[in-house]
Amino acid sequence: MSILATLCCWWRAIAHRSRVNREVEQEFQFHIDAYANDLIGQGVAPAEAKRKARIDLGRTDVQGEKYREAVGLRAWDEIWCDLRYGMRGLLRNPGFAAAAILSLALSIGMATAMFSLVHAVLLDVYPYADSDRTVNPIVFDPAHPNDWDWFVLNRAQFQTYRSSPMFEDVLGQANFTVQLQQDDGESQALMVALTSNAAPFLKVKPLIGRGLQPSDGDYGDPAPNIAVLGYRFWLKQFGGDASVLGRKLTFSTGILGEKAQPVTIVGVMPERFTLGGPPDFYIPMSQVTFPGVRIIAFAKLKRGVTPQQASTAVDPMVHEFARQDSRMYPKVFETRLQPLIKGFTDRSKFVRSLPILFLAVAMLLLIGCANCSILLLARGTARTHEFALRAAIGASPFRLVRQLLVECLVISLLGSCLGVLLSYFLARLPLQLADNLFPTESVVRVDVSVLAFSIVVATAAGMLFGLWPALRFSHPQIAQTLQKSSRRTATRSGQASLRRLIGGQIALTFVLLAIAGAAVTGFIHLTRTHLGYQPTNTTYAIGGSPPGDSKTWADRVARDLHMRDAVAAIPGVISVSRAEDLPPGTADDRFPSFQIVGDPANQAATARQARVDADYFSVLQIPLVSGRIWTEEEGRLGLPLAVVNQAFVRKYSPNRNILGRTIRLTEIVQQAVSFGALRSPAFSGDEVQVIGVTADVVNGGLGRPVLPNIYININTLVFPEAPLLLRTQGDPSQYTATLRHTLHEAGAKYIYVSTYSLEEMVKRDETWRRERLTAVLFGIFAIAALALALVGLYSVVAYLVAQRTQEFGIRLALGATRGNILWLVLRTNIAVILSGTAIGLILSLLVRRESERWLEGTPQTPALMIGAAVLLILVAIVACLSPAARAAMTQPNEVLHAE
Amino acid sequence: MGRQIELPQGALEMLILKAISLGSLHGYGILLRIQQISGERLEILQGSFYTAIYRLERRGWIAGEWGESENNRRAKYYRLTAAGKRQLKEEAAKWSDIADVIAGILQTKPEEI
Repeated sequence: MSILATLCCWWRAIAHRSRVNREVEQEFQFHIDAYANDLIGQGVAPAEAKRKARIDLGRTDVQGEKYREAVGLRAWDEIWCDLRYGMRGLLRNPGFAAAAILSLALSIGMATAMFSLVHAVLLDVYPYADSDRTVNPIVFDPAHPNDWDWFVLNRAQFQTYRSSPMFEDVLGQANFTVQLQQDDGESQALMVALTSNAAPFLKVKPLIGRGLQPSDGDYGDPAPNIAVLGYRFWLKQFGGDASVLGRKLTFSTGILGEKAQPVTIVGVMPERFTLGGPPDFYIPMSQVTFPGVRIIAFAKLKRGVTPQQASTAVDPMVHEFARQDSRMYPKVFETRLQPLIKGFTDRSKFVRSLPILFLAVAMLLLIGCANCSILLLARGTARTHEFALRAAIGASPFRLVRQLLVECLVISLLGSCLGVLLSYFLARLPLQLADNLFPTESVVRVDVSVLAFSIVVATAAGMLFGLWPALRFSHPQIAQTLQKSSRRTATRSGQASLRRLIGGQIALTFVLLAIAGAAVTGFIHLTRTHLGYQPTNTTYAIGGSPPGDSKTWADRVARDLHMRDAVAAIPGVISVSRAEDLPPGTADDRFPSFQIVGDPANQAATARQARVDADYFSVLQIPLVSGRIWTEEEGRLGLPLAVVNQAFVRKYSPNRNILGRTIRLTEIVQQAVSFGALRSPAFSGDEVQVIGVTADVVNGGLGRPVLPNIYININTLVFPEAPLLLRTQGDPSQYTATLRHTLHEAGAKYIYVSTYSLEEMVKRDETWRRERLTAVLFGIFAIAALALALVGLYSVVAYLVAQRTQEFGIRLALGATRGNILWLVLRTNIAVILSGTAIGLILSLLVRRESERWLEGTPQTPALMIGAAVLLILVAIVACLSPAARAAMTQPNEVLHAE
Repeated sequence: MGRQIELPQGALEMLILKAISLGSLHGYGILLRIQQISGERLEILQGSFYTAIYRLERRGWIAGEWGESENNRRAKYYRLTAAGKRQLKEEAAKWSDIADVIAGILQTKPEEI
């Protein structure tokens, strides 16, 4: 009650200041008049009465202030005055203000961007309800707990899994690639089917129209034939047009079968809803008629159930699933239920480099704050006279400190406003440069927590850089300062602290430059990696038909060759090969075992094993090192022949001739047969003969060692799908429609054409993306740090020169040359720059091991350190030169006359 | 006219509340009434008087309204709010308690201890 009244009172006093003031004065005037009247009534002469009343009661015009003090607004008024005074001061010195605000904007912007990024990709990634209790089941070999894998369930298994008492609810998701028929031809789309509980499970509201709802049904229910679009697909395909609702999507061939019904678009999901992909659109599970559907399960744990408890509870169930169909499970495994985010954090090297990114941002923030401290110290020294005067007429040290801190807060808050703007663009950069390194739900956004972070950082920064100068200036030596006639003599103590700050800035800048140099050279080195193959204008396609369409091995080979010949006949296609091996590969694949016949059994002998035809090596221009490759005829007959790469020879057959040896491939053959492959009549055992050795090709991801590789004649095992690798004239993407059409004509029932060429796959390689991202981020950090440090250095030198103009005038008048003056100014600064660099070097060496661990593959070589040091020293000296030259150009008679 | 009394802390505010509890008054009127009731024994400092009024108004115990004075001038009249009435009651009870206790102690004779 009392608080409310107080707030009302304050609001009136602040919002209607002049009216309240007038009323207070009127009231008091009335009081004076009434008192005077009484005096007159007591017989005092009117003029004398008025005089006595005024003497007794005081002035009316200060009553307003007394009112404000009485209601407790004094501090507010004072701070408001400080604020206005501070603003006026900033406007009077626009150069100082701009330098300080921009320094802070840059460093706060970087810090906020870093926070927004972490917020978007780690802290608050998922828009789904209770995403902290939502878990994915994974399996792992207890010997290698970090090498885990997801698995999928068939329909019956999903029902069993769903019934576990550990779960509050289980959502099923199945992914399909389908061919969309559109006005401008066909295109491939990723479609995700969700069980009917999707809406209550995820609780995400659609952007427009409606989302999936329970009445849309599960498998076996009547199909409503609807689709809900994903945001990105909606933007790409329909230009974000809201009138898309009610339109139909039509399919041609696809996994849904020939009789797939057209579906009506009923809604669009928001940007962050990207479950399962991001897919192009969602359908209810009732529309899936494919019997072999594979379901990914998301389970929401009951409240109070830990993932460990639930894992133990479902483990026997999953082992039972593995007995039914062992293909997806390791021989020995345990089940673990893990939160959604673990799928990202466990496998992301970016997460591992976060500490160093934070360190860099913190350093940048320190440099920015040091800049502001420098500027404030410089300006504060120029204001000593003002502070002395204020102290002389009664300002307390507290009042002076507060005045200075309020000014700092003005600077830092203005800086943080600009910084938030800047951060919005900066934070999106990583997602644009490396979209496949982050969860697809990540969308950088400025929200309350980001703003709060920025304001906290700005306030902390303001205090950090402002408090020290403020404390220094709060006890001015009044008599000394006021007696001084001139303000143009240098004070030694001020210079020392300025030099320390500059030195610190240069040291931190050096550390950032060294890391950035390492990151950039590391990336350049990576882009120059010798791939061992020629990825230009090469792409990949698959044409497939249901297993029942070609029942014998000979039928399949004939069909595959027919498709290959059809594609080879497309004008502009230079060469085609049937191959399922696509370099540069990825680092974290598990590989099947093999056995060199005649060698002692070795369980740990594993190698990449890929089926290719003889043309593979010519299409990708992989040279043969020794032996030969099977002929066209040998290939067609499906003879059990293979070639290996040099890495294989180095690892498994270093001191003998591998040519002619036989390798037993039991594991991969079993796997292939279980997935529907047919053996050639010539390949009755599991053994192939090595007839050649090819040169190494990057096959385990960029920047990684080449893995042992066995290339097997593709016709020994043929699958229902035919994989095709082709080189075209010009960009392969222009052949997409023709390829699709040709494969369809050649009898393929479902068709996949890679969206990316092999060249683009190199640039989508995880290491490539990550190293580019680190190079760009640290490049930005280093440039920002350098710019900040130079601004700081420049302003310090300029300020010191201005302080010493008189001294320079006298020196020149006494016979110093301009060169002497130039050297005088440069001398101390060069000393500061050199010692700053030296400290930076030491710091760099201290963090070097850590930063190399965090940023894999970016060594900081001595050459790099020297390069960074030379660059920093040169640029810093250049920054000093201009003010130093101005000092040298001092006109002695002007300066001495001015005195 | 008896001895002059200086008011202890907080008493002025209570007196102002009491003064207007008998009917709304303007500032000068409150001053006069307090002096009149106290038999001219209270010396109220001009400086603290309006500060007390402003504080009471801020706390919402009294509310001011502009009206006409006896000699047809605009004056601000204060009245007691509901919260003010409660406050006056509490304060008055507290004061009489304190006064009782202190008076009791002061009147104690040596043989009673």
